[in-house]
Amino acid sequence: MENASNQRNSGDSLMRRPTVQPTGREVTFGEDELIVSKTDLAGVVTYANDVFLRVSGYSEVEIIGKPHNIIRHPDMPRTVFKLLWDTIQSGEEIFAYVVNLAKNGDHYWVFAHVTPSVDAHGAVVGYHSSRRVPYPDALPKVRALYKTLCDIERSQPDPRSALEAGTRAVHETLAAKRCDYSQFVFSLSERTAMDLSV
Amino acid sequence: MSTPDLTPVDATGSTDTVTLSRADLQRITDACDRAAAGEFEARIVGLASHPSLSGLARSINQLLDLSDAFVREAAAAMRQCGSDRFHRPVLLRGMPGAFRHSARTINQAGRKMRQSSESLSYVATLAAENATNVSSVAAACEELNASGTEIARQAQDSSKQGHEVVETVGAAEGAVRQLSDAAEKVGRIIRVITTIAEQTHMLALNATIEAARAGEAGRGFAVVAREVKELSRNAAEATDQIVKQVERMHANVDEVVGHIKSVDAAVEHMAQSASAISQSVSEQVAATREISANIASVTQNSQQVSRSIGSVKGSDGTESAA
Ligand SMILES: Cc1cc2nc3c(=O)[nH]c(=O)nc-3n(C[C@H](O)[C@H](O)[C@H](O)COP(=O)(O)O)c2cc1C
Repeated sequence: MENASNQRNSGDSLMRRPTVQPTGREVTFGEDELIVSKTDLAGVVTYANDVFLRVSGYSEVEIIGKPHNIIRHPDMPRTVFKLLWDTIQSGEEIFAYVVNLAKNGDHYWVFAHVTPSVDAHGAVVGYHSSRRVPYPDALPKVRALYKTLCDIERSQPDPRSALEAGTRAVHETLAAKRCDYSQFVFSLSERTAMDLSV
Repeated sequence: MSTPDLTPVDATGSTDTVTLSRADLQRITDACDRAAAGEFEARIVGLASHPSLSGLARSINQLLDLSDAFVREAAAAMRQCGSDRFHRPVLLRGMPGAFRHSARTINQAGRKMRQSSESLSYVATLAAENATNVSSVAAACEELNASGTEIARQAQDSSKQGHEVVETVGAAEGAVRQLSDAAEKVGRIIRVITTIAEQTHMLALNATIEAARAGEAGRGFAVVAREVKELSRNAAEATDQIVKQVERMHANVDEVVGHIKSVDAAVEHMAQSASAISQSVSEQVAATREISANIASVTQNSQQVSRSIGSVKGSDGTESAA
């Protein structure tokens, strides 16, 4: 797994990420829809469903076999992806609000659920993500948090200390709210709590 | 390449012929077989732009995506509940039909689990409080026991001392009685002396008469007889006074004896009360000891309750990992 993540980090970002200019235009998808993708252990896309293709604007041929950062938006803090990979590599699920970049430069917000895929023997064989239209009441808080994290990351001299500073900031936020990351994510929207009560 | 024919009927009711390769058919069959075996990893990739199969592939993938997502979510939500964490529902958004219905059911179960967990926590708090209360009651019993034992000892002491006092008072009564006897004897002696004084007085009278009859020759004798008469009168007066004193003494002694009797009664009473106290305190100590024993078992029970709750709630989440 260590290897897989090393593979993921080495070269992918420079080699693969196309230089798409963000347009600042937001697109959405249906509340009843799921954007689904699967990756191998290194984060290379092995499957993307029709909603994924429609919203991102990529064809199946264009996306399969590419690293998942193909849709990475520059406004996403690196700290969040580090947390994502740390969590799924330890076998846990993670929820995260993510803004993605479509092929044409438009962006779309998702509430992503990422989990490891295990085979019959319990070995992790890849990762899976299903994404929903985010709960609107959470987004202002998420935007503010991500902006803060990006600023903190940019204020650091190198990528490594950027990640360290960002991670520290996340931990401080959680400590102040006396909860863990999962509880924090679910606390961002009233709606997630409502799903418990209907 | 041999191509099997499918003959679908479209919405208008017209039929047309679709051709597909054996390889494509095999991929579709494989994905469905794996799903039928409960594994939702396979997807049909590469047919997204197939002229006639893209729809079928999309439908199968959608079915797999939904089943896959639901299974992951349901398992994760329940796993969290099993670790006493109830913030994470199965999200209803994007879950249609029966999936949505099941998600609701799971969320309702989660809510119930949260309630039970909360009442369990409450019971745990009560049990802990109980344990504290019980141990302070136990401590109080211990103290009660100690002071009871002390009171019993002191009561026994005073009962013993009371008995000693009764003996001493008895001795005093004896001494006073002897005094009274002695006074009695003095009285008898005084009566003898009184008789002697009276006889002496008579003698002196007779002597005076005899001296007058003797005339001049008896003059000196008459003086002596007068003296003797005087003396016997004095003696009679003195004995009168002594008799009065002895009578007073008698009265005093009776009074003292009366007092001693009531002291004796009081002390006797005291001694009896002391031994009654000693007795009932002993009973109390025994009762307290029994209470202590009961409390010990209550303590054990409430510890058992706390332990059971602890193992159900499993802060380490071990029982949820199963
Ligand atoms: C199953 C799965 C789904 C992912 N989905 C996204 C996504 O929708 N958007 C995204 O930017 N990164 C996603 N990632 C994370 C990427 O792998 C990558 O870490 C991220 O885009 C940051 O890229 P960078 O390290 O090149 O900056 C996903 C990873 C996995 C394993």
